[in-house]
Amino acid sequence: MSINQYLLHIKDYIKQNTPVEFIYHDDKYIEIKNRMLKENIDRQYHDLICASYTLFYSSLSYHNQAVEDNDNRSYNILLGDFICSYVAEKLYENGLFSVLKAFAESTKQMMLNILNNDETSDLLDNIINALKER
Amino acid sequence: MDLASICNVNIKKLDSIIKSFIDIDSLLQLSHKEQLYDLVFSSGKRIRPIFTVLGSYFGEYNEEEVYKLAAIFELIHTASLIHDDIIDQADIRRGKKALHINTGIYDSIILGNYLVALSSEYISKYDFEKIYYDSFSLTDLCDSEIKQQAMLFNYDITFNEYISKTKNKTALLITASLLGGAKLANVNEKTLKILYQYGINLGISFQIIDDILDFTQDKNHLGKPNGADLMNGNITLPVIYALKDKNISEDIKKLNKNSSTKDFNHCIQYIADSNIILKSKKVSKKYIKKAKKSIRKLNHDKKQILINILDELEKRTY
Repeated sequence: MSINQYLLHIKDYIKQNTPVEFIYHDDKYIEIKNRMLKENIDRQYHDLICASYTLFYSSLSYHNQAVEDNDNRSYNILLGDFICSYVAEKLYENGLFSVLKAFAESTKQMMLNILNNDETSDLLDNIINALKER
Repeated sequence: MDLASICNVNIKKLDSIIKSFIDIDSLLQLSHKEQLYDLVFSSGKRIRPIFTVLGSYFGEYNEEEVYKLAAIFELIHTASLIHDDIIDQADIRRGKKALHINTGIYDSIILGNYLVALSSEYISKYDFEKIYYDSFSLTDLCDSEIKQQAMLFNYDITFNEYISKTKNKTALLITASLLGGAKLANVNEKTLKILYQYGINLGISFQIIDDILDFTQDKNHLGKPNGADLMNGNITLPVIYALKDKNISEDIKKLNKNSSTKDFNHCIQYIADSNIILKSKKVSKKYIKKAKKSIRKLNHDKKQILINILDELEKRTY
């Protein structure tokens, strides 16, 4: 993570602008990094894709935390929103339209699943498939 | 102000597309769908989608595409309202219970996320990426809101900081909606620049009027309690002017999130009854004038619609 510019940007942003801690899911970072290596995905995308996948779970954690953390509820909601849109805009800026589409479809499905008490997700598979189809 | 009539927008068609977008997922529970319909269709003004359609009038447009983009802007706006109501602890939205009161906070957050993801899905499906992402940054909007959190109950806010906040909070999405429609219709760069200036100035004026109505309008029309902005620590233009009024400034400065309703109401009533409202209206009119000035060099047969909107905005009472 220490050299991932996208993660560092979010970490610094949170430190400078909010009273909450950066929520970082190392397991998610390792999960997608290993999968990209295994699938021989072009290394030029590794940093952005690893950050996008990991940050999506950070965003979800902030929204989860918003329920219990009354004092910082606003920050938790806004940070979740901020991080999600940051990911989408970075994917767009880098021309990764197919990944952007996979993100939209999979995260929408995840939201539906959460509303139906189902924790399954196909986000990782869909990102990898989108990258392989490029 | 019947914006749809002024702009010749087919609201039935727009609503039908919005409904079809929300209807698409069989996995979305019926109760959630109904709550989303309620939020979108119950007396919402549809300002953003109407502006998307309006923007398209300045070029060659495909009506089906324009209305789809317009619907996407309304969904994005609705998602932001859902999250805003939780942040502002607003129990009422447009005269009805806010979504989070019905569903609980977590489900409400997730429903807001669902709408953003749904919008993104449609942006990809219809190849609107360039038009949408080049017109609007949700990240910038969130950034502005995050930075505002540190400004709550901060009575040192300046006029310029208020205008900048207002631009980010309201004017940018209205402008993006307008430009989105215009870009979809391949409007030329010169006209896009004119429409940008128009949208920003109109958006600022619109929000100032909203901020005034928060003090002056009865809560039945407002759909939420009077003075809700001040109670949430959101320092708007009438408060900035009130802080310069010796008769009330000290009382306002004492207000914080733990103050009593009585103390808030005292300040809210003072502002509502004072010439502070008139002074704030003058600023709103100044931005309407700026919007009018920005379109002076626009040479197009639909220009009159832009002028008519500003004339109606000046009369706006709800």
